[in-house]
Amino acid sequence: MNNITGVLKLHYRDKWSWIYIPAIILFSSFAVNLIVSFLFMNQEDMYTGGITSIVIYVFVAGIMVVGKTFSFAIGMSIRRIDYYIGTAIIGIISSALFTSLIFLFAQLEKVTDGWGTKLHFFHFSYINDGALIEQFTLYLILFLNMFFLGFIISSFARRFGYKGMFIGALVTLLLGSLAIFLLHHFEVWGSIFSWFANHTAVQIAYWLVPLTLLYLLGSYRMLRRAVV
Amino acid sequence: MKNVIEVTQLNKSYGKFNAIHDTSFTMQANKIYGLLGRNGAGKTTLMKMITAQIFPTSGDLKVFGDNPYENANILSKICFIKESQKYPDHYSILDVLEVSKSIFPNWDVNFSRLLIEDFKLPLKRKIKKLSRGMLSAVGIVIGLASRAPLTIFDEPYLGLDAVSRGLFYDRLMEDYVEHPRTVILSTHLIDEVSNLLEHILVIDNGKLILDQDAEELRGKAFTVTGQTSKVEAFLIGKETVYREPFGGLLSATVMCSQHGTDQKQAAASGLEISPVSLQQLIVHLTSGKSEQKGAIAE
Repeated sequence: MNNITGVLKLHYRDKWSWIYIPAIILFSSFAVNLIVSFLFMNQEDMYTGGITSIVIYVFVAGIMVVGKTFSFAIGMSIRRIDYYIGTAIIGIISSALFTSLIFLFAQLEKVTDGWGTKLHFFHFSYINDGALIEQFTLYLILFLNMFFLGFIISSFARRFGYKGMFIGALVTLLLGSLAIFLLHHFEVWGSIFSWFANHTAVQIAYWLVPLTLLYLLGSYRMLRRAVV
Repeated sequence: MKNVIEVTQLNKSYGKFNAIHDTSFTMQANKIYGLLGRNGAGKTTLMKMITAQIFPTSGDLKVFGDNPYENANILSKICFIKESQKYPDHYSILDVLEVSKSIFPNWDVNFSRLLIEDFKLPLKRKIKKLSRGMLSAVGIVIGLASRAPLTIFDEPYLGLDAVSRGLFYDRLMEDYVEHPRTVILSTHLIDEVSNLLEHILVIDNGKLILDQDAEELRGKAFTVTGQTSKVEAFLIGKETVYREPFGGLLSATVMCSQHGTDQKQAAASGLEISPVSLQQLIVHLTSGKSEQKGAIAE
């Protein structure tokens, strides 16, 4: 247990990666959009995808984390399992943090009718249609999924090196192309779109949970045999 | 005495290349070991296996009586300072110290502060911006202040000036006397550390070719100095480690023969006898000239 605290501390000392940079990204994107919406005041509702920047950042943070800290942690006599658990906890904490932030701002945005300028930065129809708890869950699942997707990619890179990454990317590309070809061939696009249309946002998000768990399991399997 | 490290027929190969080949040895508690050998001999590979950073291909490895892999109890007793240690990008020296404090159970905050002052390290500076010597000094501070029961320094002095190296040796000895622990020093600067070392292991091409008490090793050879002709006469039939002529004189280091009458013989011929330089002896042993290599490694 003591060592997991050490790993948490190890990550937390790097405040730039976990707090400052994501905050700067989120709020600079928001500020720009807010300014633009002021310039176009009294127009129709303004929609922006600025929120995706933070989602992508969390993904990138997951990709970077192992490369930045694994060698150091193992070099400091930390067990691989402790590193894994500590890093997963940091991922969960920051996902929860960003979720709370976005959730809070989404409610504010709704109450202030888009900051008085009809800007939709945090609050969207469809995504924010469900109950409050569902809105919260949706973002939490999304962030966790992005972080652990990044985490499994970086664990894979640590375990199998550049050659492994290259082969892994090729295989993924090939499988993806094959899947798209098959979907096309059997003309199932229509049913896929109607499936999405028939489900609420949070229902779709639930489908990410098993994937996220798979990433979690896979990352551990790779890290426990990774070398420095 | 209790064995801290027990290595039995350890092998590590990368494809066809044998980094460590059939190596067996033990290390006892509270001694200072020197792990010596040329570049690429396998020193770092061996130490990485001892600290579970990489995995042996075959063989048995016990640290504090058990396999160190994923063993929190054992790993918490180890501090491995390696020349190639990586630090997270945004870290300052202070960050490294704070993390070390929460990881190593025996961490001594006051001692670490003292060492930081000794080596004149700027606490707030980012690790990325440190010079090579300062980076090495950071490693030394961690290695010493962690007071881990097994402390391993792999080429800890890279880029350090002579004054700082001297400081390192002094602090190591002072602290070792007060807080005995097992220390492994891997280094090229053999003569500089030869006084510290109690036991010496030499690896060459992935094989352990020497595993001996430092005192005994020094007794294995001696240096004679005198007129060239007299020395040459003395050298006949003996294994010469090193020879250095100057003017009409010749200084030569020879291995002692089995019966141990060499020194008397040398004294009788009017030659001056002095102790051997460990560095010369080891260079000789690892350069492949010695035919008695096998015999010494026993």
